[in-house]
Amino acid sequence: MDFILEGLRQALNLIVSLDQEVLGIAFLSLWVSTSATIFASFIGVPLGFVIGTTQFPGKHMTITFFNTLLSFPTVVVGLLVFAFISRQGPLGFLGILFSPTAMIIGQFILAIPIITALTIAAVQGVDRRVRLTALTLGANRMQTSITVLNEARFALMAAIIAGFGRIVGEVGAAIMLGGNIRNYTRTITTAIALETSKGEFGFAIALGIILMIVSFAVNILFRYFQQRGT
Amino acid sequence: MKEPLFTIENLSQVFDNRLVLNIPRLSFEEKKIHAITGPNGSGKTTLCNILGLLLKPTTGKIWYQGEMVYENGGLPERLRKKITMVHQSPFLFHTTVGKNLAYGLKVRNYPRSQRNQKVEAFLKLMGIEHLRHQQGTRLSGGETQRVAVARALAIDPEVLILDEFTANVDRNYVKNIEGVIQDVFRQKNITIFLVTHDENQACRIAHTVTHLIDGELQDHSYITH
Repeated sequence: MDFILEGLRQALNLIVSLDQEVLGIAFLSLWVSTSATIFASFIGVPLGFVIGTTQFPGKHMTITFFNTLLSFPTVVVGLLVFAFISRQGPLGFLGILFSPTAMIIGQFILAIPIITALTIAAVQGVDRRVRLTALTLGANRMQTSITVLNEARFALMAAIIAGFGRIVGEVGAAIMLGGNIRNYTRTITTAIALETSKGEFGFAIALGIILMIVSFAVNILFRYFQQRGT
Repeated sequence: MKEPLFTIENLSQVFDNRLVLNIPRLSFEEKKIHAITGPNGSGKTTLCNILGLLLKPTTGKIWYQGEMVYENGGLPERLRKKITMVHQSPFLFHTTVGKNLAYGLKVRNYPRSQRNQKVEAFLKLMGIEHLRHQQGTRLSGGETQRVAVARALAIDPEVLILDEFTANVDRNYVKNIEGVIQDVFRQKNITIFLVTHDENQACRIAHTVTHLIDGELQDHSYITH
């Protein structure tokens, strides 16, 4: 029990004294996950909109496919990206393995299904009168689509935040593609795994507390946007 | 002789293998108030959705001022800028009443100052200036109806289609809103279609009455006021 209390005491010291290494790791985590979420939103939101608002053969299968990808194991995504960007892989010439770029690619792939699936649900939940109203007021196809997205804005924000929530706490892809290199690719989750195995509980708990605060903030935002959307 | 505003020929609409509308031939003159009456399920709203170019009929041809509507791809979109519709349960966007009124003007690229002027004028016309900054989704049924009518009128349409436009309005306000419709007709000289259950209302304010039963045209006659 003592070592846990000692770990907590050390953790609070590290946080209160704004330890540079702890802050650096937290900042890198946020930067990698935010970048991946932004890129995934540019793909996932339009993709979800098209799937949610158009009729095509195999639509239900497509939606089931994206829903299945929600539980895609992070290490498998890490493995797939690793295979492509490792030295022998087809994209090995880029030399991005064990870099923040590789981690962003992995997290980007992980975030796309959740953002797409929740965008599909968001646009399907929009009152069908929105489209009709926009059309009767003279909106063209593009303006009508923008209006539908605008009406779903809170649910879309919730989708994007859920995407961020999924990747900021993942460890599999981050450790396989980043390599957990100190001051370069060490994120909160990979550092917690490493420091715990070294017995550095204080450092691991400090990072754990920061990750919990981030997750808490993300969930508050998620709930806020979900409630605004209903 | 001037072309009618709408001419319909051999029009039919089928939903789920059920024929809901079947009109061999019908035409509507421009710059008149046309009432479309009939019991529930008679096809009134379907006809309005077809005239509002929101629904392409299963079969048949429609001409708007002599131009066949579905002959070339871009025409329905261009005509839709001239025709507007207020549904029985109108939808107001999740924003303020003022921005709801400005929507149709914004998609037509009106400059902001002109938008504001028109919004103000039409809020005043409907007696709802006090609602300008309220959220559209928090209004009562009657207020929503009035905002939707103001929003439709703000775009200066050639054709205004009102589907059961007084259904959710307080009985005391029905006469008032009928008066507004007649004023708008006189001032703007547009064509108005009214879908109504109320035959008395149709006779009070319309120039023609088209009566539908079970999707079939029963009568299309002029009213002498």
